[in-house]
Amino acid sequence: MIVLSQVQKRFGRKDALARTDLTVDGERCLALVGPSGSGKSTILRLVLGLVLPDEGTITIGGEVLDARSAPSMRLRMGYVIQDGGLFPHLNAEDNAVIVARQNGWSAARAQKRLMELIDLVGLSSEHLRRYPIELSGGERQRVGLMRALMLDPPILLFDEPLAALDPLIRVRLQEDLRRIFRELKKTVLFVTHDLTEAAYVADEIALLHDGKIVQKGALAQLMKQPKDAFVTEFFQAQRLPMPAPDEVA
Amino acid sequence: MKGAVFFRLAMILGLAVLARERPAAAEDRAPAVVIGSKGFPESWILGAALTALVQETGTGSATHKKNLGGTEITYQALKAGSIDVYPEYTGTIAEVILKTNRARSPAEMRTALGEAGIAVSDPLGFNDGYAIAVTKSTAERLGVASISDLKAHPELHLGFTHEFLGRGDGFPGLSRHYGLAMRDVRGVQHELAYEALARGQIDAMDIYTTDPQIEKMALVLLRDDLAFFPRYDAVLLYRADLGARAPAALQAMTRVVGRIDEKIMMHANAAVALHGVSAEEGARQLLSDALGDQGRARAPGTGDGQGLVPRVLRNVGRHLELVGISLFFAVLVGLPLGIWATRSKPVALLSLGGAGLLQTIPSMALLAFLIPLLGIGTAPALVALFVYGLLPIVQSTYTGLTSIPSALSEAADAIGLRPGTKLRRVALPMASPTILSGIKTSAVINVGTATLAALIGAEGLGNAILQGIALRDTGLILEGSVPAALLALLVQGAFSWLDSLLIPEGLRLSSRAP
Repeated sequence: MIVLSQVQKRFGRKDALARTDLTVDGERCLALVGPSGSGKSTILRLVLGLVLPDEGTITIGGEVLDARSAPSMRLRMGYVIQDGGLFPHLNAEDNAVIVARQNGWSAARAQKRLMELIDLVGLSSEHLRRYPIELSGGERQRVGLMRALMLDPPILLFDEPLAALDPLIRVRLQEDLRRIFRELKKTVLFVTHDLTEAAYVADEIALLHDGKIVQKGALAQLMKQPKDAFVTEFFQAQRLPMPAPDEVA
Repeated sequence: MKGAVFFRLAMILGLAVLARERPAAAEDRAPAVVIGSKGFPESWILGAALTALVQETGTGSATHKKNLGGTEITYQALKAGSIDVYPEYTGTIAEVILKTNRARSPAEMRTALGEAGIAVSDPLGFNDGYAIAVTKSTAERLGVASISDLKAHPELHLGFTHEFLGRGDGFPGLSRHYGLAMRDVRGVQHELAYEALARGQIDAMDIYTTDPQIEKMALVLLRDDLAFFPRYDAVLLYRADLGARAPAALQAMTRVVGRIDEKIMMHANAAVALHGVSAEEGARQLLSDALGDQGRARAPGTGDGQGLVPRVLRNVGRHLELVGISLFFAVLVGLPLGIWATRSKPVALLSLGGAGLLQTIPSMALLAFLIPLLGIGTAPALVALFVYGLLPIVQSTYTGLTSIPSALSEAADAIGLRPGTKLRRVALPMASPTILSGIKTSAVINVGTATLAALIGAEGLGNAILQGIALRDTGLILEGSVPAALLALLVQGAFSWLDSLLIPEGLRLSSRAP
């Protein structure tokens, strides 16, 4: 369980995140949706302890996150970024096992875990010897997912993981991610700017604007009872049907 | 542990250098006399002659540190105790060492040098003064016979040694004394100036009155009609404690006092500078002329007697040793410094700025700085090469590490890599192409710079080049410069191979991708 209470983060004069309360319960996937600069990635970086809050506290699994606890707490979170975030000089296998090996896993143990994951993420063992440059965008993302799942962390964090992929591959990965989230019962924070993706993958959506969570709930709820004009506007911009009579094209 | 192996290697290399520096350390307690000579054949011949004289006494060893360079460097070496004795000229002592405007009496000179712990012998017998020389055809065409006659020809091109241009008793004083106003006066290395004079690229140059080229090229020495040039009587400068430390050696060396006149000196100079005889052989001839000893034992050579191939191989070996050891330490210091710089702004400013500043010190100046601290020979050469090798390595390490995409750098933190693992497994491998190219730059620069190490008595390919220039011997110049150029190419090639060995395959694939 991830809990942000009264968390505030400023970069210079600007509030990257205004005082925010947010709880993500176990075994659920919350999508953070909003335009660029709305604060969704800031939440992710705060949860990872890459930046520390100016105000408020973050607890993960009941433990307070601070500069000292962050490094060890990161091992309980899997993190996936755009294009997989793979290191170009390591092949797929070495990318996937780098953290496990650092933490003293034997080669055999890492290998065993790798074989468990390879089917789950939909790759074959021959992919493991390839370098990132020799993999397709979708395959890179699946290796990134494998790396995130390696230590079997209770929490998974995704930062626009599918943004750079072409539509067909994207749809396949969305399906696989949804299946994996349900199968593994993880707590998931999923940052995207795509509402349909969020609705498909996540149980709940938090819509952010200007460093604030504008509305949080299921997609249907946001559609039927938009809290303010921004929610409506954002839905319209994504060409999602809204009860908006004055909308022309 | 990798670190331990690295450390041990550093120790071994360090000890190897020290061992080289003290060849006589293991010998008996017989006094070891180190004789120095400046950067021209006459000085080498005198140095070799002194060496032979000491060796003949059989009371101790004598080493000849040949071809140390200009007055500043050689005198500093004497003061620092790296050498015990070297031949010098009274005019030079007054002007360059004591920095006085006009000649001093021998007694005054003795007192002034005595304060620095340096003693002066009586004159050896010849005056090697400055004179201005023109070719015979120039003299006839312009009708010049004295320096005063030059006043009427401000259009003449003059080529002087850098030392002559800088000394008060050189060109600045001369032009004031005679009221010369030449439009084109430039610094040219002495032996090259003869070449330039022969080809008509300059019209007049400074010469030493015992230069053998005077006879060979039938040069006309312009009369010093207003009596400007002081006398340059050859003397020996030696450390004041030498008499107590090695009395027999000192006595042997002073046998030449009053025995070498201009003719004898010019004769030996001609043998070495014009006829390709070794300095040791020239010294043998000089001693036989001066002391009248017949059938003297052949003076022991300093390697000049070897065949071409072993000599070149030895020089290449020493050259590689200089480059290799200095590069090793430059990497040992530069790499951590570059890494540290990425973590602290002040360190970045200080190390990059500092290394950049050191890079701009001209090599001659740096060598002159190092002599009082480290003496002459391999040690100061290694330090100088180390200094020049540092910047490209610090710079490339810093650039390589800071140009890793920020998303990947943050991802490394976010997935839970510790700083040490991140550096070893991610940052350094990703920066390796840049870092290696910096090390390669250092190595290639040092192959070139190491030729200058010969100026301060470190061996290597530079020796052949410097001697070749001094003797106007193209073969000798090529003997040094061709292997040096090949070595630079070889280093380039070796690094391409290292690239394929050290740069991770994934990165090489990425760089080939469109």
